Amino acid sequence: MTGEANTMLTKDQIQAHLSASLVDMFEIDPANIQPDARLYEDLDIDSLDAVDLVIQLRDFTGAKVRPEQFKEVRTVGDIVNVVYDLLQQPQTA
Amino acid sequence: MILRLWQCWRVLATGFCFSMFGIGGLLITLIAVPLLRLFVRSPITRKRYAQRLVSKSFYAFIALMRGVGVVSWQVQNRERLNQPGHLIITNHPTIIDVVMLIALMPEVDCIVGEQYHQNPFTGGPIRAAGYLSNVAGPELISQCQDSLQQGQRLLVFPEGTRTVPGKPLNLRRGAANIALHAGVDIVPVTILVSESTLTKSDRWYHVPKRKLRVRISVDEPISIQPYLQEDDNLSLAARKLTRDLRSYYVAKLTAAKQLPENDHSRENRRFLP
Repeated sequence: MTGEANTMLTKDQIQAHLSASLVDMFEIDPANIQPDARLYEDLDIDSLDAVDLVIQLRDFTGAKVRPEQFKEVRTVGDIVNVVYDLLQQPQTA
Repeated sequence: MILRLWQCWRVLATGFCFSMFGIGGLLITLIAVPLLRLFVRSPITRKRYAQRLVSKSFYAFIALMRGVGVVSWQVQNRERLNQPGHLIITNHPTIIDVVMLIALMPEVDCIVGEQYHQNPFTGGPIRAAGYLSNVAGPELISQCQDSLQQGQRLLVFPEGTRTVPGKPLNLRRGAANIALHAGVDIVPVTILVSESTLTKSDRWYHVPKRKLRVRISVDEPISIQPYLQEDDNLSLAARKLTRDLRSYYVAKLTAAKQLPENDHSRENRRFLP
């Protein structure tokens, strides 16, 4: 089960994967990807990109990730925290 | 002195025109929309009639504004607007340019700010004409895709708001995403105005010193095929297309600035002592 294996991910690993995805998917300059970088204002990620990103994170974590869970997300660090918390919770079917 | 009188006249005339616009909106909401509901069964046909009605009303509104001397317009290559299933994009220097573009197209879908959907004067006609609202976010892309694939023309303002004078042009990626997802070419329209007026920060009675002249030029379609072929990642293709569209508009608007300024001398001579 990938879902189970990935609950072991540390925040650093999530951050590393997220950075790589942002660079690959949206050609964002790696130097700008800091935990406190704001997605919309600093990294120019719009709502459509956000949907793509959520799908990508779902594939990566194997967890049930839904766009609503990212409503409050503003920065790169927020994403890492949301993903980390999701993986800590027991997966409900 | 006479120039000031001329300006006062235009304040009054502008107020009159905008009142007529509001009254027209209410008449459409209270009379035309119920009649359409009553007599036209098919929602699609009803929407088409409503769009034609809005277009005709807007044309009449522009005719009124020209008649009282508030505005004049010039349209180049209008026939390029007639192709079905194209995405039409334009810069947005003033509120009147939307009205003009819709007046030029009897049937066109359009993305309109949510506040106009809620406005008592404009909401009725906008909803009857089935114009889309900009709040939908990602769903909006699929709504636009549906409209274009049914062969409708779609008018989008890629800046998402009115152009801010003196600020660098800021295009959002929505328009590029719509074209790429729907697989349709883009017809770019460039709008030039002789005066800055009716921007987001202007009130209606801030009329310019001179009559507003608007030049609408419909340019050659831009093919999206190179972008689709180059990149199967649509997010990246949309970024590239948006960058290119931005350079396109910057070049168009800069070139226009270098032309001799719109020549007002002849027009003003009539009013000078």
